[in-house]
Amino acid sequence: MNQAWKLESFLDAIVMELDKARETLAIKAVNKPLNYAVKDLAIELQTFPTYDGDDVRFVTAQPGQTGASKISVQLGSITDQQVRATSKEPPSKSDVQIADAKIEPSMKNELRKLGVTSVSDLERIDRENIDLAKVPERNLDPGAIANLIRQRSRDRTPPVIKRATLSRAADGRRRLTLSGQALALSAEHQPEAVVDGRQQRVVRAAPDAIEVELDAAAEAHGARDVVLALDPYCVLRVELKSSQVGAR
Amino acid sequence: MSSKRREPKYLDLGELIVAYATPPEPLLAVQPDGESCRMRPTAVSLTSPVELEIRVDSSGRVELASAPPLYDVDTSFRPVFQRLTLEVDVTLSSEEAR
Repeated sequence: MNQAWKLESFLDAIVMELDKARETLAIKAVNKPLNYAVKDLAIELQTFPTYDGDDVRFVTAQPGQTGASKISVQLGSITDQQVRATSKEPPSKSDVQIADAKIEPSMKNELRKLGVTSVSDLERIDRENIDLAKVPERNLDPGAIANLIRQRSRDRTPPVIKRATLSRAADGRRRLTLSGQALALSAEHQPEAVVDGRQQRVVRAAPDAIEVELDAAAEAHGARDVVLALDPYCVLRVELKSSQVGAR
Repeated sequence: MSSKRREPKYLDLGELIVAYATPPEPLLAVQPDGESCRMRPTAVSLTSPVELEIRVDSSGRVELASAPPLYDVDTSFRPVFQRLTLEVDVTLSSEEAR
């Protein structure tokens, strides 16, 4: 029984086989006066296509079957410069692939159909001022798209904590100040702080410092484990040791 | 990959391409009027019917195997042949060109 396959997987398989052939021919050329290089390859297939609403799949015709469609695949040869000029840049290590993003599978499919494979693609579209939510019949959640872009943007500016200080305010309460870079960056979100498992009040939030007022229990405990939700895209955990906390 | 065993007649498509892309040696040498001359191919163009076995594993990955037509017998049900076209460039190796 023939199995159904996707055109993308079929092309991957052809390219892999062609690469293997090229490598073998290159080795053979070492001891031969003539070099043989596959310049073009074309395959015509007798197939029956099906569409399940998401993907088109093909089954090759079997003996005795008539009425098959013909697909012709042609692979030409181009230089590496032409590849660079006509292809998207390969994904970087820090880029998030849509396949790995935490969004609904149906939305992943819709984005794939629009040729969007990474969050970098979404950023590029956003820079062009294109509103994907208005693309007809695609049902793309604008909130989820914005979240992916903001998450990527936050990943590029990770928070840095350089110093932790314990001090006492005028009202006698202890305050923990964490100083550094890229801490509170969002004007829309107020950072939240949990110290040793108890939520504490953030009294000041700025890009270079977060100031947390400690209640009596946290003060007594010594404030060792601090979890900061700086915004919806950045949560960090800090473990403080006594030598790192400068008491004033 | 599928647990079904591949028939012995099938080769990896890459092996078939190598077989097709390598013309037989030696180069043709002729001696008209006592003078020798060497001939070499500069390009190979081939179009052939092939049987193609397309296997798909559970992750959707495709594996291709192929076979040239083995029998020239007019049976009631003929194998389904796909058409493979190859254009091969032939160049002299740098040592030979010198």
